[in-house]
Amino acid sequence: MTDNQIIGNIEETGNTSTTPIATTPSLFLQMLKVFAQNKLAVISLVVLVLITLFSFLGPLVYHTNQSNSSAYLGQICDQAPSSAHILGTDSTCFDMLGRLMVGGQNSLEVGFFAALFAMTFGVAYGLISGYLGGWIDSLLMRILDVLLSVPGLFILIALITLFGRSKVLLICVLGLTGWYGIARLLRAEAISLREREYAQAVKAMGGRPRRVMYKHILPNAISSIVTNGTFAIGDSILGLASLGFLGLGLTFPATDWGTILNTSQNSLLLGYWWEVFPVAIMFLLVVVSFNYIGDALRDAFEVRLRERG
Amino acid sequence: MLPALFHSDVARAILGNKATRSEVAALNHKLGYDNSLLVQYWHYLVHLFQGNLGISVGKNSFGVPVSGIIASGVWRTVWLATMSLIFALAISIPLGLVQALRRNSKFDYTVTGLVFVVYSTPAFLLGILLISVLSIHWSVFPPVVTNAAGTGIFGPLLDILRQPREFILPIVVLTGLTVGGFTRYMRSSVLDSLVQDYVRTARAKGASNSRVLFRHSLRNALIPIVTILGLTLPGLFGGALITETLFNYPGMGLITVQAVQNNDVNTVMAATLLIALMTITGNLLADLGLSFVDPRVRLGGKS
Repeated sequence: MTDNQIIGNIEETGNTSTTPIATTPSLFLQMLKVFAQNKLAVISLVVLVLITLFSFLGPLVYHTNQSNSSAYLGQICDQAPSSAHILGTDSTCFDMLGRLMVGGQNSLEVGFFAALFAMTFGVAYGLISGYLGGWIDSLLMRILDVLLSVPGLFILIALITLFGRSKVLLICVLGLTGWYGIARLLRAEAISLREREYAQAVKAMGGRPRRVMYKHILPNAISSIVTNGTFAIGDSILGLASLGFLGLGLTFPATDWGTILNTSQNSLLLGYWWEVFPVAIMFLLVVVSFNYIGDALRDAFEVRLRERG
Repeated sequence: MLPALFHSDVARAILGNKATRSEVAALNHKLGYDNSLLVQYWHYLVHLFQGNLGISVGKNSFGVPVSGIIASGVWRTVWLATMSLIFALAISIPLGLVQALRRNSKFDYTVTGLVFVVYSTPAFLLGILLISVLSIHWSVFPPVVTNAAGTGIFGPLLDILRQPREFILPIVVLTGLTVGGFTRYMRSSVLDSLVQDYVRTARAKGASNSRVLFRHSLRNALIPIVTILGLTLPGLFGGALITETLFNYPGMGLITVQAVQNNDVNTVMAATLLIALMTITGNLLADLGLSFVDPRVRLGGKS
């Protein structure tokens, strides 16, 4: 066992004995209460859960062919909603309701993992930049400034032209363009938190920078991480939809909400409303829900800040 | 260096599957793609600083200079964005002002709710909705921009002024992107300035209500808006890309999207570089504008 670990252990046991454990659950309950008071956020949460269930469990109940449109050869595409196809069929003869489920799965998955990627990278970047400071900070921040000066959508498109459009690549590309905000935020947090007494104390006891960052700064920045993570999922879903709408989303027969909107752009001119409005409404609900939940989370975390005073 | 990573299959894409391996190699040699990545990058940079953006490597436009493809689009995008910014400011400044003056009234809440809806609706959804209602259902405005022949710096502006009906929908969609944020900032900015000492002083010395509002409060409240103007540019250009694609308006955005569909890496790269340049120029203008409207910024350096 190295000295560091020993110090770490001592310090951890010290921590648990000085902070009364009893306050932790009540704090969480308090946050839950604030969150629950926000009616819009609760509704949003319900909507999100329902849409997720619909997308992932729906196909188990409602069986459709979503991989091979030639199975529909000879049938009439663009059918209006009927008992056979609850939401009609699209221009490639796929069942629209089934299409919504598949599109929802892909959109939610890509959105979630891209946000996770972006958060991980952004948090690490911001932490290192803010905590270490000095020339490393200046260098990292100038790089960030350069990236920020290019509109995100253009970077996305450039990267996609270069790397292709599979699901994993889309997650990476969306993640690569989504971390700027959180990096800046974490840098600011790290700069303010590293001067706190507890961070200084660990440093004085010989704690390595990595320890201070992971065990002391990161947990205290959790509120901004969670809040921004929520917004990041919404943003990634929006980014994927924008790409999909430009015809640069997942490749046929896979689909996502934006790609569905892209394929059915002309349907509106022909009056095929079922190809546009259900997906548009679903997509908008999801994006707005993530924003409301993020807002409510921010309020909920403020309780903790008040407590900490 | 990024374009270089991709180039290996460009020659193949242009020549098609029937080309022999030696033909592909010959074209790769001609385009310089058989050099090492570093050498390719160096050539790219040297050409870039000489103002040479290279040639298109897209299948349909092979060999056409990239600068020629892009040049026509730049000013179209600039004017579209400028018009939408003018619209957005013309709407959000009075709106935010009235909201601040009638804080927490019904009007305030209604506008806040509306602004939130517009703010969180992505450009393409707003566009689809407007097209479906105004162009298809009621046929008030055409769903695409059909006549955008104007070239040069002022050509696109003349297009817009000559046939405003065609351009109203694209401009409105782009305006919807920024107007929400501007209104929010304007509201809080005016609220901030109303409680400042100089406003109280102005009232105390007996200045009329409108004088206090327009001369003391509004003028100061506008200062942060100039900064926000610069910050919204990346989002605005991103929105322009969507809007141009939606309405088939051949600006930078549509050119980029077409280049992507055409596998034309050089044009995509050049367009991205140019958009970044435009954003930085816009930010510079905003900073200069800030020192113009706010003497404190100008004098700050001297003291």
